[in-house]
Amino acid sequence: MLNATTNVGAATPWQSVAPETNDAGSLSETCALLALMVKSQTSSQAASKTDVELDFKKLEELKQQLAEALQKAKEAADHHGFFGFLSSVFGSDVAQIAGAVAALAAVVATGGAAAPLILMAVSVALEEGAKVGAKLGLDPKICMAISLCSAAIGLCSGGGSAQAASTVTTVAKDVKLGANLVKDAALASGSALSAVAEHYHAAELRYQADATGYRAKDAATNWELDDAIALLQQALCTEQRETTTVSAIIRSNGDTNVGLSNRI
Amino acid sequence: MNSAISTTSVSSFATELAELVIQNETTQSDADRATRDAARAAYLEDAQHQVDALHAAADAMETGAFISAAFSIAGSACSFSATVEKFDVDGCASKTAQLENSSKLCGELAPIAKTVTGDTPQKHLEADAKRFETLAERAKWQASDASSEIDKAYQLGAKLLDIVQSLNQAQDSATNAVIGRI
Repeated sequence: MLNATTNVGAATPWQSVAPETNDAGSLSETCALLALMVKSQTSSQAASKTDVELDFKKLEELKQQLAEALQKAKEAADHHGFFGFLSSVFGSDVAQIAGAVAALAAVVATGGAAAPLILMAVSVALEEGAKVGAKLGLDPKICMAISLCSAAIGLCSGGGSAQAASTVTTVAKDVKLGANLVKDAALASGSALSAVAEHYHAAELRYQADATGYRAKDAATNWELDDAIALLQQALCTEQRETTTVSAIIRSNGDTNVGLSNRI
Repeated sequence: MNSAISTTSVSSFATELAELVIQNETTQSDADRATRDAARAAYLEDAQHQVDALHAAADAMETGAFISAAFSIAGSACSFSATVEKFDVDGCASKTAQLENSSKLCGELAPIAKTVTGDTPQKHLEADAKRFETLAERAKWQASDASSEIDKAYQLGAKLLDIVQSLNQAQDSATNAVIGRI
């Protein structure tokens, strides 16, 4: 039963150790077996310790990689937000304002001669409003401001002359052209910026995917680490039990020999 | 006489039984270890597939965004040219109309292209990623179950060894007592 070659490699080699004989030869054999088993457990412990150290290093690397991936994902998210905002400003706000200006300029441009007359009517209305306001006891400063506005609009209207109407139409057309061009350019810029924002969003998703992969590897390494620690623990326990068992066998054999000697 | 006492059938039977049980436990543990290792390998593989699918989904999204932006920019360029052409005194009305039509077409194609080349593949790939995530989670549970079985087997083996050790000690004591009586 005391077969060292078969027992050393087993998970718990001391299991078949039993006191068979009690002469000096078998005692030394038992000690030799104990030495073999302890040696085996020691190599097992050393291997487990190496595994634990390697797993710790691997875990550290994975944690660093995970942190880097998350940091890069955050940076990409920031860029995505910034370019998304710019895209929204150019593609939506600027384009809408330019579109509104172009529409207003189109109205003025197509209004032609009617535009100065409209302005003149507004000027007269403001002038009359200032007078009525003064009579009704409105603050003189406000009345003065209304009068000034009236005078300014009156100047702009140019008294409704044909030359002034032509000038306004030309300016309105230019404004319309400029506004339309700005609108188109803003839309194109908005689209380009949106593409850049989506590029950063894709990068953010990629980094998040990488982080998922690192988490999975981290979990697997943790399992390996747990296994290595468990093996180390088992090796230590087994070594202790082997020593205890063999000591008990030796003590028992000794007791038997002492008893026999006493009887003889 | 010593030999006869030391090979008492009780100890021998117990030892042999323990050997058999431990052999069985070892076989079971080996099977559990194989299951656990396979489950862990499957977990890592599924997690890698999930990562690949998420990468592909991000690529699809980016591609869709680029194609859509290309159509939008082309539409804006056509509109720009049409505006310039319209305000040009020597401008051709038919060319202006053609440019305006092109601009409108590009504007309509942009969201369609985004849906076809970006959003739809992205949704499919995200669904794949979710499926792989589920598979990985299942493999994780299997690995965990196998690890529990291995622990149980180890604890059973340790208990049996304790019993055999106690039996041996009892037998030794009995032997010594018998020797004392002789």
